Amino acid sequence: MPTYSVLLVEDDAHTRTRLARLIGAHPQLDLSAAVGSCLAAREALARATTDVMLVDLGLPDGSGIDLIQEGRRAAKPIEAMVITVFGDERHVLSAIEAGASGYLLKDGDSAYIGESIMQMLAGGSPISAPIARHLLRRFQPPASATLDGEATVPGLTQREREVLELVAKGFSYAEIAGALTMSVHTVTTHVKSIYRKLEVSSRGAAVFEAVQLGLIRLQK
Amino acid sequence: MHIKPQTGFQWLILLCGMAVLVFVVVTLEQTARPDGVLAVSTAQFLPGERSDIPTDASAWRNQALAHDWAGAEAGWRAAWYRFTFSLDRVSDPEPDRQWAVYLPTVHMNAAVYLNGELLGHGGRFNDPLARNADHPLYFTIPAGHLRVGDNRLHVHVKTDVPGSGFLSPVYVGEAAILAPFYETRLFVKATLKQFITLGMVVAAVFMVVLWLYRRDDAVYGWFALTILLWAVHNVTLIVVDIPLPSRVWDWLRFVSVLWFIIAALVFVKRFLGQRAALLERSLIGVGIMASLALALATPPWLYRLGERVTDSITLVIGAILVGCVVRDQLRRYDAEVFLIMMTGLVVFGLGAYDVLVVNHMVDPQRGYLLLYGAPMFMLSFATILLGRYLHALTEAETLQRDLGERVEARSEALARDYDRLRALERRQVLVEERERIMRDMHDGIGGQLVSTLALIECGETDTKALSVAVRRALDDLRLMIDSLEEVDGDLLTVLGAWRQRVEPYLVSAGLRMDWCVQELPRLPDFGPQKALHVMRILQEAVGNIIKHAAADAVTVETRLEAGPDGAERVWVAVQDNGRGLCTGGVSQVPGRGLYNMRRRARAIGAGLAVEDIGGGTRVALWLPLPRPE
Repeated sequence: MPTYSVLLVEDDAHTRTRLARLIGAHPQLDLSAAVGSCLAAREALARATTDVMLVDLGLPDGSGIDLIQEGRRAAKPIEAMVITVFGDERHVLSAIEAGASGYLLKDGDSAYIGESIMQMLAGGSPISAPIARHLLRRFQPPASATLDGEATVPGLTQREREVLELVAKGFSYAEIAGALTMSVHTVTTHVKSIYRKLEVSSRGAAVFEAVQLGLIRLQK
Repeated sequence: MHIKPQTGFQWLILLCGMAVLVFVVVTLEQTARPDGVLAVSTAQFLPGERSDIPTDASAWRNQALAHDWAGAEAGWRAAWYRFTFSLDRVSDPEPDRQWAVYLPTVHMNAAVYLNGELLGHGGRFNDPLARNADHPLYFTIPAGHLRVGDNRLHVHVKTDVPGSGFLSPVYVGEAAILAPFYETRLFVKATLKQFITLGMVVAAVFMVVLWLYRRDDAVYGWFALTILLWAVHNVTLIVVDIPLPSRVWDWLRFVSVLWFIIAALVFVKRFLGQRAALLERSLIGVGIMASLALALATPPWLYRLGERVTDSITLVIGAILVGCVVRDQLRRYDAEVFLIMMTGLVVFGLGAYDVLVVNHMVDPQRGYLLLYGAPMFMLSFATILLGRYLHALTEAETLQRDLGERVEARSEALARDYDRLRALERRQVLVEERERIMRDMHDGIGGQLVSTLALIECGETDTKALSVAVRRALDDLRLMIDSLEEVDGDLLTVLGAWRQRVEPYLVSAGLRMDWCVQELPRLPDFGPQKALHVMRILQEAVGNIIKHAAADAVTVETRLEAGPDGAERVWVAVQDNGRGLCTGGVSQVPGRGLYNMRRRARAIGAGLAVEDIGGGTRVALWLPLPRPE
C-alpha cells in the first residue's frame, strides 16, 4: 500500500496535536511535519517532499491561501486541503480558487479525516449544496460573450452541470451516481474537475482584470 | 398685461399698406393710357348677340370709348365695335418691330379681328363666360396681316351680366411699346392679386393651426375665418375661366364678401374684448337670410339684390365695425387699437369704392380695390396676434422656469428625506438582524455552552459526555452559519446543507437516510431566519428519531401540493420506520420538543403536523407559496 506524506499547518496547538494524532494513526498517511506558521511550513516544504498539505487559512504570519498557491505552483504540485471550522461557502470557495482540492472540518473524527484525505488523493472532492448552488450561478453561460476575457474562462460540461444541480438539491455522491448511471468515482472526478475550472477561471479573471488595469501586457 | 410691440410699429405697417395702395393706383392709371401708339377713342358700335363679324350694312353707330353699358335699357349682353386706321407703310416683319393690339379694360370677354382675321380672344365665349375684368388683353399681329392703307379692326365684347359690359379705349402700336404697359397692368391686376390671395390662404391656415392648438382662444379662429372668407371672395373676382355657372359663381361672390365682413366684425369685437352675443347672433341671422335670398333670386334680380342690397348691408356692417374701433380708440389711446382703426378706415374706404364701381358710379377701369387692402389688414392683425402669442409663450417659459426651480428644490428636499429614511431603515434592519442572531444564539449555542459549563463545574469527568455537549453546540453554530448562506429561496439547498451536517450522526446511529426530494419552486422571502427555523425543526425531528424511534431508516421528502384552500404550498416531511408515536403508551416526541417545533413553524408562517403513520412517525411541515398574480 502506498503511503503519502502529509504536512499539517495549523496554528492552534491543541487542534494541531489532535489532527496530527489522527493522521499519524492512519495506515497510509505519514505526517512529515505539523507546523503553526507560514514560515515553518515553507521550511518544511523545502526540507522534504510533501504529497498533501492540510492548511488553516488564518495563520499568524500570513494567509494559508498563499501557501496553497505556492504548493500548486511547485514542480510537483502538492494537493492541498483547507482545514475549516464551518466549511462555509466563503472560506471554501476562496481556498478552491487558490487551488485547494477540498476541505476538512476541524472537529472531524479519525474516520472522517482519514477518509476525506484518501478520497481527495483518489481524485475526489467534497462539495456542499450551497457551494454547488453558488458554482452553478457562477458558471452560468454568459448571456452574450462581449468580453474577450470570458473566452479564457472555461464553462461547465453538461455532465458537470447535472452533477452540480443534484448536489445543490442535497443528493449524495452515491445517489447522484445512481441517478446519472455512473460510478461514484466518476461523480467525484467531475467535482474535482469543477474545482480545477474554478481555480483556472479565478486565475483567468485575475489575469483579465490585470490586463484591464494595464498591469500585464499581453505578448502578440 | 402684455408687452406692447415697439413704438412706431403701427406707423410702419400703415406706411407699408399705403405704399402698396399708392403703387397700385398709380400703376393702374399709367398702364391704362400708353403713349406713342394709336389710341382708338372713337369707334362704331353695334349691340346684339351674333358671333360672326357684322356686315357694313348693319346699323353701326358712332360711340366714344371708354364705353360703359350701364343703364342701357336693352340690357345688352354682347356687342361689336369696329374702326379703321390707315398705314403709310408696313414695318419690317422683325419680331421686335411687331405690332400689337392692347385692351387695358374689358368686361367681360373680348375677341379681336384684324381685316376679318381673328387675332385672339380672352377665353371661353359660351356660359360660363371667361371673365377678364382683371385681365388686360393683348394680341400681337402676325406678320402680313397689316396692310398699307386702310386696316379694319373688329372687337367683339360679351358679358354675362346684362348691362355690365365695358370697353376702354383700344391701343394699336408697336409691340415693343405696348408690351411693357400690358405686362405691368397684368402684374398689378392679376398676378399681384393672386399673390395676395395666396398669402391670405397661407396666413389663414397658419392661424387655423394656432387655433387648433389653442381652442380656447377663439379670436385666432375668427381671424382665420375672416381672412379665408375674404380670400374666397377674391377668388370669385380673379378667376378668368370660372368653373361654375355664372349664377352660382356670382352668388358665391356676393355671399363671401357679406360673410367676410360679419366674421371680421365678430373677430374685431372679440379682439377688443367686447363680447356682443346679441350682435353676433343677429349678424349671423342677417347673413343667412341674405344668402338664402340671393340663392333664390334669378338674374337680373340676383345682381340687383347683390349689387344694391347685400353690398349695402356689407357696407353698413363695415361702418359699424369701424365705428366700434373708433369709439374704443376714443375711450383709451392704444397703439394696437389705433393701428386697427386706421386699417379699418382704409379697408372700409376701399370697400366703399368697390360698391361704387359695382354700381357704375365711378370709372370702372381701375377695377376692384378692396383686395389691395388685405396686406395691410393681415399685417396689422398678424403682428398683434403673433405678438400676443409670443408674449404668452415667453410668460409660459418664465413660469416653467420658476416651476422647474421649485420642483428641483422640492426634489432635493425629498431626496434628503429619502436618504435619511433609508439610513434609518438600514439601521432598523441591522438592529433586527442583531436581535435575531442574539435570539438564535440564546436559543441554541448559548444555552448549550452554559449547560456544558455546568456539566464541567459539577465535576463531570466523562469526556465522552463533555465532547457530545460541545459538539452539539458546534453543530448548532454550523446550522446558524449554514442558514446565512445565500440560496436564492431554494429550500432544497438549505435541506442539502442540513443533510450534510446531520447524516454523519444518522450513520453512526445505524440509520439510513432516504432522500426523496422533488423539484420545488423558488420560495420568495426565504431568508436566513426561515432557513434556520426549518433546519431546527428537522434537526429536532431527527434528534427524536435517533433517541426514541428505534428505526433504521429516515426518509426526507418534499413535494409541491395543493392545500385545502386550493393554494399551492411546499410540503416537507421527515419520517422514520420505527415504532410510531404512541406504541406502548410512550410518546416519542417529548412535549418540549413538540412545543418548540410548533413555535418555530408559527414564526415562519408554516403549518406543522406530527403524526403516527403506522410503523413510523412523520413530522410534516408545509410552507405557503404566494398566490400567482
